[in-house]
Amino acid sequence: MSVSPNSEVRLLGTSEVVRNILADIDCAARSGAKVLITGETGVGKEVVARLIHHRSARAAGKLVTVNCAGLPDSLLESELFGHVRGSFTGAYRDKPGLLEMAPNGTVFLDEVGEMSARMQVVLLRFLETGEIQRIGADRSHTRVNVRLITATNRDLPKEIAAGNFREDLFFRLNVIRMTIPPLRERIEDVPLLFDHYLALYCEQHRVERPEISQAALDVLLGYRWPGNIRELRNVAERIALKSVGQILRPADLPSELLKPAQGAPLVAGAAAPTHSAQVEEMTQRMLRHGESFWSVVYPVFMARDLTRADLRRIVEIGLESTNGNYRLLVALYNMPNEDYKRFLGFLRKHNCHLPFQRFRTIPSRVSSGNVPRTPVAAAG
Amino acid sequence: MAQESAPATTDGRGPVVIVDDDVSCLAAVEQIVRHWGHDTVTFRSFEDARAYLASATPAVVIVDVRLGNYNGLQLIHFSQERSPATQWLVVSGFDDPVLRKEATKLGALFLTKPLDLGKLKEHLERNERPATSA
Ligand SMILES: Nc1ncnc2c1ncn2[C@@H]1O[C@H](COP(=O)(O)OP(=O)(O)OP(=O)(O)O)[C@@H](O)[C@H]1O
Ligand SMILES: [Mg+2]
Repeated sequence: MSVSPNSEVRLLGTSEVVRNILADIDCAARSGAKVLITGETGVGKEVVARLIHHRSARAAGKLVTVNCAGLPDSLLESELFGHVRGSFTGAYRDKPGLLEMAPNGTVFLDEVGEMSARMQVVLLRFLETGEIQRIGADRSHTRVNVRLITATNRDLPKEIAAGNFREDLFFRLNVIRMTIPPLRERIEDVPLLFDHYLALYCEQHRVERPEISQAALDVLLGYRWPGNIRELRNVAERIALKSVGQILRPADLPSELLKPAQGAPLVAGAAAPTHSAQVEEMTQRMLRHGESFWSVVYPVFMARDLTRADLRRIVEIGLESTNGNYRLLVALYNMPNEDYKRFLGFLRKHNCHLPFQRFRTIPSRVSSGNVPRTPVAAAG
Repeated sequence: MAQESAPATTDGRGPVVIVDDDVSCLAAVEQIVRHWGHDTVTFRSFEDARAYLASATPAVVIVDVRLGNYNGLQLIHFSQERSPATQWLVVSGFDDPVLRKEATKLGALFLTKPLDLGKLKEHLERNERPATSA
């Protein structure tokens, strides 16, 4: 028996921010109007969308999630609206769209800010008529009864000003607006969240749950959490996998939590060699906004819009923050652990693989002076 | 400028609440509504209006669709349950059929700018009469 998705959704926290979010969720659930959820990566937008659905009159219907990012237009359109056989190469049979699959339910369009101009028009039309037409279908329109919830971590008014997002679409989607503040603005929830996820992962990996020392707690409370609750969750899991013993000390925490002092620039000011605004912008996007090296740096470098010196500087910044640990750097720049080899291969190929040794001499705030262990170390 | 002391009633003689983040629009509507003899309470932001509506049950609210990051319709969703007798006038700079439909579904009157003052006046007068049971 599969776990009902309903019981999986939890919005933990006792801060005023969370209490307000919960009140807004109830209001949104009662109303049935379209909801636009905004907030940084990992703040819990999807959690909120699920809760709204499960608390609404549509709870008996399905909740279907569609991620609008990374899908080419034609595919996204066919996902949403379906297609008829033969309407394009590869369309071997009729396929209903996801909008049809959730009658009396909810469709959650995630990362709606990534939609192409053409898809925005298609969506706009759907909102007006409530009808869908499968790709390749002549005139058979189907009326569907779904509620739309959308989410994005983009600043849509800014995107509108830049001509990337339609204002009329924004106003139609933005009937009920929920803005989820970043974790650092509700830092008082960190102990509870961290406890929860640490207990969860320790149980999952069958390791003893360490007691959190005051010093470690201070680090958790002083950190900016650019990846928000997802990042906190990952940190808890990495610690469970390391099986640190009876007491969790600062030295057990991932090094990115220990490095930049709060409020200080991520890249140390005076001592650091200067680098271009482009490098600064790219590292910020990776360190603060959780974007991946593969999407921020790689394509620009390959298009020769980033110099080799700049790429080296980016690697250097990463090594400085991880005490010369390439595995941690991979995590720091938001790449999955499996990409470690591919990443090093890429650096070597372009002669940007810097020797890590010199970074290990930088005194770290970790009192033991130990090289941080890799987060992938198996639980013993 | 939430006015805690403003009488919040649905008996028809409470103030007219006006919400608009465009100050000049807000001032203009306020002036006209006052000229017609109503008391007014005004808000320039969604958040302030929302805080007020968390405890008030005004007879009439005039609200702009565009309120910074928010849609004025959200205020209706927010306070409908608490204050079902409130009459809503939704004002929009552009006529969007979808938003018009949603406003109408909520029992609100949807008006586009520039405001048809005759309509507005008529609506306010209609709601001025003591509310009969809805
Ligand atoms: N208040 C919370 N309590 C417990 N867990 C939470 C909370 N908020 C978020 N999480 C967890 O954090 C992770 C990220 O949440 P979610 O996927 O909803 O974020 P998101 O805002 O959609 O992120 P993205 O913009 O990257 O898609 C999930 O594993 C979720 O379970
Ligand atoms: Mg998400």
